[in-house]
Amino acid sequence: MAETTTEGPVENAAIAAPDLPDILMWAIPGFIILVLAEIIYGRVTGKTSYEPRDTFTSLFMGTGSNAAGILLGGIAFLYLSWLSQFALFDIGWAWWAWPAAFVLDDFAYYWAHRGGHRIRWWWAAHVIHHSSQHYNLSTALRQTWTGVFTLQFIAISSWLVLMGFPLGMIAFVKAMNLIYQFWFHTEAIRRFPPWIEAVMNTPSHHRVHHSTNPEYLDANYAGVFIVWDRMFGTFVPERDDEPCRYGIVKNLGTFNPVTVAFHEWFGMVRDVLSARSIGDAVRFVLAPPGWTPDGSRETTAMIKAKHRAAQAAITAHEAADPSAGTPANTSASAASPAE
Amino acid sequence: MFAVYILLASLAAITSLAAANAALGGWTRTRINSLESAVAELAADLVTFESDDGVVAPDGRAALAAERGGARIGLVVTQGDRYVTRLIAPGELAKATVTPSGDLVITARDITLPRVTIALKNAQTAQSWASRLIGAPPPTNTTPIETTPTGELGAQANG
Repeated sequence: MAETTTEGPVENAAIAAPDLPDILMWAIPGFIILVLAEIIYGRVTGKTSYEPRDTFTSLFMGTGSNAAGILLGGIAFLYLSWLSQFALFDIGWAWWAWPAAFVLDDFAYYWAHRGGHRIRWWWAAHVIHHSSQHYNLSTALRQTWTGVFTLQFIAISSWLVLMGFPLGMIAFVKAMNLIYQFWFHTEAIRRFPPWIEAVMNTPSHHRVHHSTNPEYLDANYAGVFIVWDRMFGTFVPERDDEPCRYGIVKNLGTFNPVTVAFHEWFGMVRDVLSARSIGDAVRFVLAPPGWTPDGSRETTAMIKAKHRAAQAAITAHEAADPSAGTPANTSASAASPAE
Repeated sequence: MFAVYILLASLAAITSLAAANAALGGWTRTRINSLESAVAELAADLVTFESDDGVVAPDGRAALAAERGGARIGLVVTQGDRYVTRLIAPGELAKATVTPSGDLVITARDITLPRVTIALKNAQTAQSWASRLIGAPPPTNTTPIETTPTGELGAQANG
């Protein structure tokens, strides 16, 4: 750790570490009350949707994620404590360090989250959060059991540690970030005023992120500030004419929490063991989800390309014959009765 | 020990919430009402899919639809108040069998939808679809398959 002095900018480092509460633990009763409130709200208004087995699985995954965090979080803490000796600065507990840590952590979260969708090793853990076909407050709690194992948390946190932010501060702002991300997992709120939607991550933006509509895939990775998506070209607004279909491109046919937790790991191991070369084995782990050597499965990029081709065919067809409807080869049709 | 109490309390809380969800209702088990609706689900999930040849279980809990111009078969099963779809290529399944009562049992290598039983109660229809699913030639010792919707028979998705 960088040496602490009492002069100049690093004077802040001399401020004693505050006794920070575990705000995530304190928030849990609030989460439970809000889930119950949303269930009742949905029952009364029909604006939100819950299914009991889906709800139980989501909440069970959240509980398991907490347990895994208790068991494995210590390893991450030990590593980050060790890493802190290489910090470039000793930023300490100055007041300005708090908002700086919060914003920089959110910036790091954006990239880690984006990686969580583009690198199968991280997706294998993150897919759990997307595996519900519902989008409600219980979905927010559907979290991975294997996040620490993927080293994604360490990847997010390491650079803040290396900059010199105290570990306690990093943990605190990370908890604030997670708490912020809870409430916007809802269909009960349509949109906020434009100036809020322009800056903050909101239910509308995050609904897009949880959707499998080709237009919405790989978008809106933000945690708190949607500006990161706007800056780095991944922002997609929710459209009223394109209702969100939630889940993953190959939805799960089970509510079994163990299958939910490990299905992608199982698939990845099976793919690696069947790989015909070391290069293919590496790509099965690090390439985007859906990658195969022969293209027999689809990545999100392939799905989006297929959708664009279908849309182009519709446009061309309409241009050639404005009175015609949708061309047959791009529409759902079923002409004959069932056998 | 404190952590164990916390986890047990959490388990009680989430069970209570799911029970409250079940007691309050507000959701309905979905069903597949027609081949058109099954194909629409497949088209939405797969971006493009069309079919004019398929079968819907009479209880609306599963459907199969052959891809037009291709050898693959779309599978739609209900999952609570939602649907789950798969596009099955010939030879992709572990097996597809027919029970003596005429149920079609699909066993996949996919742990997220390992087994689906479609209770067609018609061995001829079930055998025909089983053959198509595994990419084998259709049975030849039978009369032509009826093209009317199946009757009051059931299907069950096991996950």
